[in-house]
Amino acid sequence: MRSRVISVVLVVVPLTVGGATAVAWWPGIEFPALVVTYLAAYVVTTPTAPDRRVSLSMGVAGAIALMSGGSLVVVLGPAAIALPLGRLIVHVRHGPRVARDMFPAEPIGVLVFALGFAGGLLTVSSTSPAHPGVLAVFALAAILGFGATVFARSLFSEQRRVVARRLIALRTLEDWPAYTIVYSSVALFAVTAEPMGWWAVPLAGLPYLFSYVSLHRLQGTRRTYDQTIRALGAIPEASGQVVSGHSARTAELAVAAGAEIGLGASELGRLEYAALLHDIGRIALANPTVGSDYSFSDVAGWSAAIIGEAKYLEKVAAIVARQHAPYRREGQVRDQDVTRSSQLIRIAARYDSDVAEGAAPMEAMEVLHQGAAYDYDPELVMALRRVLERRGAFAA
Amino acid sequence: MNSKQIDRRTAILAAVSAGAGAVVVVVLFVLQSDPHPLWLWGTFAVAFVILEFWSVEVNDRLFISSSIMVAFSGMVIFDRDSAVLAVTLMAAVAVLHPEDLRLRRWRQPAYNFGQLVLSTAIGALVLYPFLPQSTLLISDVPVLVGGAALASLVYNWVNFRLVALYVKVAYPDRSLRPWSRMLANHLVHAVLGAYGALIGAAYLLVGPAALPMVVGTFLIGHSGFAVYSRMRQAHEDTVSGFVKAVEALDPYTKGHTERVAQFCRMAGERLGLDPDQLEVLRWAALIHDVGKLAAPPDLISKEGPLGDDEKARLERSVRVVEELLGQVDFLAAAVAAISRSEVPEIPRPIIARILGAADDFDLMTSTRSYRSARSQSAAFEQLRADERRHGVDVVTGLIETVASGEVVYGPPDEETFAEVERLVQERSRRA
Repeated sequence: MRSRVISVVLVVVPLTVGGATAVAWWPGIEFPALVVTYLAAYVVTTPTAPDRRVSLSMGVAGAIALMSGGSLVVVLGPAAIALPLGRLIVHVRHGPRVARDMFPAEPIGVLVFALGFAGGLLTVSSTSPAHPGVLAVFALAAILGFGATVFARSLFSEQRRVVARRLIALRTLEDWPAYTIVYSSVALFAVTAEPMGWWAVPLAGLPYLFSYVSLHRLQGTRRTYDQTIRALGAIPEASGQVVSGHSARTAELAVAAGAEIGLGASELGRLEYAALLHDIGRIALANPTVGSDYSFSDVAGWSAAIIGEAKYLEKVAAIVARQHAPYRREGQVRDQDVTRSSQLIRIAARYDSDVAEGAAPMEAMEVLHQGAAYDYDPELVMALRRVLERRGAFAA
Repeated sequence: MNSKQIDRRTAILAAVSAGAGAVVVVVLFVLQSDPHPLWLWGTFAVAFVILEFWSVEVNDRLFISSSIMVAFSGMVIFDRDSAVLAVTLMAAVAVLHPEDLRLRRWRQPAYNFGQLVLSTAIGALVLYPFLPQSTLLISDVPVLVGGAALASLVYNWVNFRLVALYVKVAYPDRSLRPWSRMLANHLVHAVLGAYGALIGAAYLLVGPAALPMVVGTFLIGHSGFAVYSRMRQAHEDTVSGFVKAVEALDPYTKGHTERVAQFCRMAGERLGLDPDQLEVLRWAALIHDVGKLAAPPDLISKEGPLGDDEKARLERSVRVVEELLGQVDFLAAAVAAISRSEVPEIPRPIIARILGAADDFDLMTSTRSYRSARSQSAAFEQLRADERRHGVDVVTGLIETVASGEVVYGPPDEETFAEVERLVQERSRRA
């Protein structure tokens, strides 16, 4: 509700006023042409992460701003008409989650960029796109617009009361390549459009297309790799050696608790894979020579050995190898060889197993608290507890 | 041809190639003037070297190096009287790969020097007539871009032919994709060459301001493809790791998946499958036994053949895993090929038939816990008897391709087979 009110106040009102002004004061065919260009920006979107895409709207705004000398009416007028329709296009093509993630964040970015560029141009003597001062103002306004978009994305799509710096840093790392290719391409187009005519289109379009295809393929491969890990992680469940859904639930809880204690994006990624595959060693039980005399540490070792066959997953294998080790032994403050990721898997797996066997969530939580002397790191147990409390798991 | 003959031939070829490359460079030094300014040539040469070594996979096993784009940009930017020499010198400095230095090998870099200098010089000479006589005008751009696309095609064709010649001599058993399969590669190079000329035109018409924007965008794309390539490799390593885990369950099946994948590739290539089909076939071969991971422990290494109930239990477990893997987008086609392989009412696709025949052949020529391996000729006979199941084309293709190789699978003769069979039966009775 709050995000809707803010989006109306910050985006829809000024854009509608700007659009109405433009319609009233701007005769000719340029206006509908620019509206169509903005709409086209929502047909071509670049994937940056699962359920997250970047549209070309910022690029269109950038090109129009450079070629119109930073006129706010020309940049924002067509945007006021096109952006709400753009949301509809994204909703239909990519679903409500992607649409929610892009709106109102991207229109806010367009607004901040246009205001920043127009304001910055007041300090430069020229409005020619090829002027170094104009390009510098463009670059600064683009960074401002990008920052505003990332902040708005974190604020609205994550539904957080306080936007964590780590979350913004994560979003920045994920999104900057897509925004850079958009802004670089439109700047190249604007700079070369006058001296090169229509040749500016392939000149700016081809590197954009090249980068677009690379990011698209990369996201596609990441998605199928995730699918593969999930499918392989579920094999012990298919053979009845593990409770159905255990690896997926353990991964979900471990990652949520990991985010709670502030693990970085790459560590969270490894933690997720490790949790999904933490029981894969149980397939070794199909080997008759193993018999029934084995321990949890054996399973961890077998799992790590299988995962370690893939060089890419060596760090994941190291996490899994230590998943059954206590976080400290007698006389120690902490065993430095046991990473927090290994501990998180141990804690989340134990909680899920107990609940799956019929324990109430609070009973399962108490088991973890009781084991805090050696087995379960109390800081991580509390992180899991906070996650579960927010989800209402302990409600009577 | 023995290894000594191959060594001698590759040494001669490398020396001839390096000599030819050196002659070309000397002739160009005589005919053309030195490229200037030197710092600009140096910048282009560094970019050329980096891109030459940093080829990326843009699609399924389609690797491209964008060095030709840099070469043709430079060709347009430098004067006509130094352009061909400028780009040929870029190629000349791009031959010493760090890997060659580490392994202290000289033949490959020597040959590469010749082939890269020759192909670049020929490509540059094709582009030369299309360069503007004096100051570049916007009206010159279409001819320039078209000429660069043509020159890039010629460059790539010469380059491919010269590489193929070396591979044929140095690695007689290795096959290269035929020209018809290289179409995508040639098209990509034509676009890169044309785009290189366009960048050169932008430099002359707009100034150096255009270059950082092109380079920035292009580098992001290049890095994206590099990560994509690493992810693909990781994908394959992960699935292969699980295949090894399957084979570890039963010592008798060690190497089975690898051999089946090899038979599938050989038969698939002989039967003229396109690259996409070969890729599905490869994945199908890799995962065709992963279903055993969920098999009940008592069935995996049971001494003796399985009963009907046991087969049904095993089948159910295998199906569950296949359904799991079928949810993975890129494995869906391979899983479909495996799953439909034994349903009589559904026509079996060629991939399923090749996989079935290759799997049967390897099972027959490998020793199991309850029987000895059969000889290659006996396995061929059995495959011919099963022609209705696998298809005449597949059986013929597989037999021809295996028979044409140097390796003979299974025991060398029936006497050895009888002796091993006696030992296996004796062991089975004792067990």
